[in-house]
Amino acid sequence: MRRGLQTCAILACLAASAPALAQETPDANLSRLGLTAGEPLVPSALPSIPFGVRPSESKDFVLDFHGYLLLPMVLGVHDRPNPEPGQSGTALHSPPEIPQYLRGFEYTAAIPNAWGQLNFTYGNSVLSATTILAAESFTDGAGYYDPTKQLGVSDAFLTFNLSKPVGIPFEVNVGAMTGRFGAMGSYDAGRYGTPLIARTNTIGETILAAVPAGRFRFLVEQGWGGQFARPPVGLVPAGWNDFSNPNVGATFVAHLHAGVAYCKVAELGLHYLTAWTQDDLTPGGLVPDGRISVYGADAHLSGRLGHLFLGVARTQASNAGSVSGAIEVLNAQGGPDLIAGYLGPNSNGNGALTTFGVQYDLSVAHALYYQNYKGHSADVLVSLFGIGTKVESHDPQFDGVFKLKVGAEVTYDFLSWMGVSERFDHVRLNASDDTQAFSIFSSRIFLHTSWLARDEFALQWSYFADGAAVYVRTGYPPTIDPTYNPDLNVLSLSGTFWW
Amino acid sequence: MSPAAPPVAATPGGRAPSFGAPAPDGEWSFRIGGRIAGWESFGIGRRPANPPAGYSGTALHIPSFTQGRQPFFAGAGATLQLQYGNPIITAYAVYYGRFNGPQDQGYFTPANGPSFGQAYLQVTPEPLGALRMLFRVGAFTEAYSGPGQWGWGIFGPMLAVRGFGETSNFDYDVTPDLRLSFVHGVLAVPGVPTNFVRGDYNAWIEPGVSDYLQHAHLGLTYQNQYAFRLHYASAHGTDERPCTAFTGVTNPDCPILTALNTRPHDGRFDTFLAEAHLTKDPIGQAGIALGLWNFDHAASVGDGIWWGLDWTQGARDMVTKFLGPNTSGTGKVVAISAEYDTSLARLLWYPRNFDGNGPDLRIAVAAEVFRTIETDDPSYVDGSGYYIGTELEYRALSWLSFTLQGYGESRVAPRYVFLNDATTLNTSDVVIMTPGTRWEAFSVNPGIRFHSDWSSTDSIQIIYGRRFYSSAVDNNPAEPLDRDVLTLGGYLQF
Repeated sequence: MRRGLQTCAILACLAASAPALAQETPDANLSRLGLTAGEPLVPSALPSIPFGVRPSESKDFVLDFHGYLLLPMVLGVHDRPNPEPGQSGTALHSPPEIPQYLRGFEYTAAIPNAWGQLNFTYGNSVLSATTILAAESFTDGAGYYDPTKQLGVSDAFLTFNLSKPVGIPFEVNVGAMTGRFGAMGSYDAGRYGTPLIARTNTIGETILAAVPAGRFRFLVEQGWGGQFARPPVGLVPAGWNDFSNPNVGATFVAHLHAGVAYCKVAELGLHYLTAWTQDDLTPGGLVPDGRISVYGADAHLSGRLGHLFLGVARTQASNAGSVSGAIEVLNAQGGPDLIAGYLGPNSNGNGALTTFGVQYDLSVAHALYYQNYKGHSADVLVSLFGIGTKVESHDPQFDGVFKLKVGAEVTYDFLSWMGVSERFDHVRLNASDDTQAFSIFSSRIFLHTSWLARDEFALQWSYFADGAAVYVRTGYPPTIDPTYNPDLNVLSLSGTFWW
Repeated sequence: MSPAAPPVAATPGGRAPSFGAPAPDGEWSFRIGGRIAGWESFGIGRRPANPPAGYSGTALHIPSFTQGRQPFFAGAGATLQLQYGNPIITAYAVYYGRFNGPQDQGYFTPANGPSFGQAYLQVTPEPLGALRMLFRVGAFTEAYSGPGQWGWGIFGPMLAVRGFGETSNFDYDVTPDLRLSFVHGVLAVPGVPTNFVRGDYNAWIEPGVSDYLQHAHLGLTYQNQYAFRLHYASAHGTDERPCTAFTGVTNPDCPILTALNTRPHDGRFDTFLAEAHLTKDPIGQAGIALGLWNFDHAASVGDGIWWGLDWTQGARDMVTKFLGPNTSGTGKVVAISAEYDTSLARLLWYPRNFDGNGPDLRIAVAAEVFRTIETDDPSYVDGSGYYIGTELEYRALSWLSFTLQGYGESRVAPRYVFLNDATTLNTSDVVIMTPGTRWEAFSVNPGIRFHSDWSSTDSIQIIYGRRFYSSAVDNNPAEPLDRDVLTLGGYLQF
């Protein structure tokens, strides 16, 4: 009874105060008889929060903006075998026809590919939302509109930083996001732009926690997610859908990682990822459940003598043809790419890869002067890198193949605005077959606006020395074309900037 | 790695800190600009010849079913211009998005975006004495030689180039009054795979060709009032459509032909332009530009030279419109374009300064005359034509203007006009034009415009358009063109 009286009193106070408040502060805005045009077209979240509230009226939320642009002009010099009347014997074309398929082992990242992304993060120290707009091409500079190269919103996720209430560094991410494990560089994916262990493309969650213990820090990361959709049954593979494979099923990925870091000197990580499909909506419901699991370990060592990455991974595939690109191994998107590039068409997606990778980066000036060197003078940078993978497959033609790529790069940055570099890459698509090997010699001169500027403008010439059985992909969709003479010389002019 | 890090390799050489590395503070700034615009017009149709039984009433078309220039750019969408940088280097990204959903336009059009349109880096080094420099690297479009005050005008620039590449700009002050400018650029447009299927979302593509171009520009500006500029651009196309397609051996009939039904052939497209401007208070701005376009098997050249005459898109569009559809893509076109822009208030207030915050009549008048001086399409030999246009705006109040836009064009008509999507002469859907028939479309478009202030960059406009066509234009009695058009639209620029 007493509680009921209390409630009535509160309601009466609220009712009495409402008209008084309305008289004191008349609403100058137009009444809303419906939703405003800017309201998001999604169901309301609970509790409902109006979208139109100005950021300045909300405590401590700010907008943060980052981005990355890699903008190359790339020309391939092609010797035409049988020029028609009116056709020159030498063709200059873009893009170049070279053995650098991004989703294959041959990819080295020695020739720049266009990439742009804009990261918008809005939030405060506890909660933030990140949206990333990304593209692999730019319509004003491209010859045609390819919808698959306009990624639109490539990532969108919320980050909850719960370190304060939990008492240790603790973060939860929820949304659509990319995960990359086995990054070979200090802060990036390394010289090959390829995560050694795996990449995940899912909508789901990740939880990261760190437990400090003296000079050590123990790290744990857990994640789970699936793809937002799957190619519907009956979908005809075509350019606009990136030649989707309708045989892949709804794919889920679970992953767990543990590591230990010692100051900023060493970090050791153990990784386990498994991606699987158990979908009855595949054509006829007859596609077997598939699975790709990856076990890996990697180590980063940093100090006066540079940065060393060592990594190893074991990928096991079982009926992997139905596993989608929710997981990528060596940039191969899911089971179909794994079969095409490694396991072979007669493997039924069954087999394994044993992969290792190494990258060593040395700054000579840093080694000589150590902490007295701040990066504001000339330097020589040396980088050595390589990835190898051994294939075990149920397809006898692919079983036992060992693929290897190694490279070296020396950079002399001699002015605050100029430097030169030489890079060598050697790729063996089958280590025991010289005809399936090629080398790339790249010479580069680059300009930048200051010693440590985050911009770079590079003029590059690359020469390809190809084995007789090194083929390129031509046409649409790109397929291996043994009749086409690959370009041997490639010129590029690129600008890169990130912030 | 953080999900926010880009999926790219380390920078060449590993010289610079990576994306995820801690960033130092500095003089960095971020700016968002853009334009939000929406225009829609509906045309009031006319009764077709031999209408089907039960036909009645007046047809209303959205979009309007017209030919000739519209007083607005059709469609609705937004352009976001994002820039981030410091006084030396700035990154620009332009993001396009137009309505493309079935709820807004009845069907899905992926080419409407959203998409990254342009992205480039701009470096402005410290001046070297009187020499100032600017370098641009990335994917972008640049426009040159428009007789309007700001390079565009009523009929647009006579040259626009686009692609991936660079442009280097140099300005040198010879004297305090005389400035010499020089620009040079190299661009490449990635090609389209030979067997790319031309889809509805990609109507304008020429598969199997890629092109590269260079362009150079020289300008003199005296007292910031007199300007004279020369422009040159040369695009080369590499045509790799194989005559061995489908069979593996050379086919004398070459199964994959160009859009002009010619055999694959490397091509070239050159542009030579000269322009002069006078910008003086109170008389306003007068500009004149002369142009020569030279085509050599240009069906095999892509769209590195993007705009030419009358907003044409790339070499193929220029060829089919000015050399004729029955050509090999070889020929020459010349044109002269002029525009005059003035403000009546500025004239009346002189020598006092008029800052735009008061009633005014703004006048723009433009004309463009062209002639085909070489072509192998008989219909277009010595073909000539012209465009005329005027845009008047009487700013009566700070929030209200009355506008009048008028446009006209007249040019030689093609020998054949295909109807109902027909593509061959072996069909009844072809109108054979009388020799000498001209393609003519004129329009008068009075309107009312609302804006938030005298010089604000926003507008809501209502336009009524009355259109006039020659028989070569309105040539299908079963589908007569709309002659009355109502338009409502607006934009906000920020």
